[in-house]
Amino acid sequence: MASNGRKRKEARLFVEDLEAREMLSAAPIAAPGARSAAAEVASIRTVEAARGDRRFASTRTSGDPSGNPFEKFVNPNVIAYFENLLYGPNSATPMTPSAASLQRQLFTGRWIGQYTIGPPRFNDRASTIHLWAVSGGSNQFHKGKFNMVLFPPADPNAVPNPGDPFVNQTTGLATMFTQNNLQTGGMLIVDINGQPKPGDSPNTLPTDLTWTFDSSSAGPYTAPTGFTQGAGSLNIEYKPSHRPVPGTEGSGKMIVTFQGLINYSFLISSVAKVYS
Amino acid sequence: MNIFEIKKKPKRKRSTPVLERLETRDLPASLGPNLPGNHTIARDVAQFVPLLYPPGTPQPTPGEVARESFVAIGEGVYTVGPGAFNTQAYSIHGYGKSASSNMSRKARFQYVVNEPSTPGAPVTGLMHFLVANFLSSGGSIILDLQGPTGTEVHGLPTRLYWVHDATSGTTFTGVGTNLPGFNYFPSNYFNAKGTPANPPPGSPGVPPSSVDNWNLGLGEATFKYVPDKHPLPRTLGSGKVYVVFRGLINNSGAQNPIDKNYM
Repeated sequence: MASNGRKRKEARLFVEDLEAREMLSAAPIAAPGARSAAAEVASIRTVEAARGDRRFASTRTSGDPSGNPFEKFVNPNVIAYFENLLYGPNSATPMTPSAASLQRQLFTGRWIGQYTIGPPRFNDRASTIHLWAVSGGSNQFHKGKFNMVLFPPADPNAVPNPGDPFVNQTTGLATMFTQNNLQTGGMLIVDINGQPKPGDSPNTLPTDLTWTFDSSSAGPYTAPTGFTQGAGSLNIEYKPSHRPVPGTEGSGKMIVTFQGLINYSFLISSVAKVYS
Repeated sequence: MNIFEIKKKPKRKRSTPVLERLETRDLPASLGPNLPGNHTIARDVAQFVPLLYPPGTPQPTPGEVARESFVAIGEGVYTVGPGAFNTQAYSIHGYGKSASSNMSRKARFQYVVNEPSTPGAPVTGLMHFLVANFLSSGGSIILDLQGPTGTEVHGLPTRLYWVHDATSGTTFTGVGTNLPGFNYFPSNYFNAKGTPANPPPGSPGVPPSSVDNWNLGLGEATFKYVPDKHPLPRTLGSGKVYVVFRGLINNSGAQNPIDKNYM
């Protein structure tokens, strides 16, 4: 009992598992106790739920009995599409990845944060949308911070030309800063683009875009030769605020969801034990 | 003096601990006029806009020019030694702990400049600003130096141009390797003599430059040398150096974990 007569709140301490022992490591094919990446995530979610960990409570989709947010929003058709894009017969690296390799490459992530809208940086852009979040993670790193900029086009019907090949596309960049990972300096950078939907005005906030892995990524995501493939889709849900942040043209909350494939090498992680 | 007089103790100076604001909340930050952490605008950088964004390519707004503006100053020491290769007459190595920029309040720097052994060849070099008081470790601004001969004072080049190097660290890493792709990064900003190319890359008929290249950067560097009367042993010369770098760096604004860039 505290000196003022109130009951003290008890805070239980627990040791958080190190990311690198579980994530960003290959699912050992021949080793005992091998589990799929999805099962790995499910088991972690179960432990976190038992601890009362509410970090991902808001990302859980209602009606999902397993409570596994990363399993819920993976769309096998999307993954198959990007598998063909990266490794299909017309791709830059035509080859057939094994099932285990595809499982290893699977990347899903979700962040809940904020966004602001500001004036464009260049005369062919409609605005600059900045999104950031500290609450979120992925199946490859439990916890991470997130930062993204998007540049919708001023004229979605403009014709691309050598001086401006992306004049009619939304472009952008996202950086995911890995946390609870043994290595510092982890940055997963993806380049973003997308075509506005027909009839959308330049002020329409983009929701469905595609991303490609940027080999400028750092730390565990450093991409040596042969490990530069990565692509997927992202979806953004916006909840505009009635009172935008002063100085902005709009602001509010957002939820961004990533899914796709990243040919992660596992060679740059200091504790990744790749069995094959 | 009365020995029984009680000496009054001098008043203690009180120093109140303060929390120093983290750099990243301020810089590189947006230019939102009503928001905290405004980016200090560097002067005299508009001259580089036509080089980076020539006519026929998307033009930056005045706010964007201010956001990209970069200025760094530093004080250090230099030494002169033999060139590392037969194409270099001699090399100048400079370093300093006292540097500051509008993208990093505190910084340290190291640079090397190589004077060519072939007449008419450009002066080349590299500058590295190791940024400090940033939340992310490993932040660095790496700039490739080049310029024509002819600006030497006491044999030391005093004015060069610089281009942002994609291998800069973390917050300043050059990105966009897949989209728009490195093939859109013009490599011909300068001609064989080290002077700005005319017409600049991206002009009609010249390889394009895309505004989505979050790596574009160009500016000028000035060096002021104060030679020692007695150079350091085993050097061809030594002394103090003052550096000023000015130009534009198109940083994406999404490579800093706590950067709340409102624009």
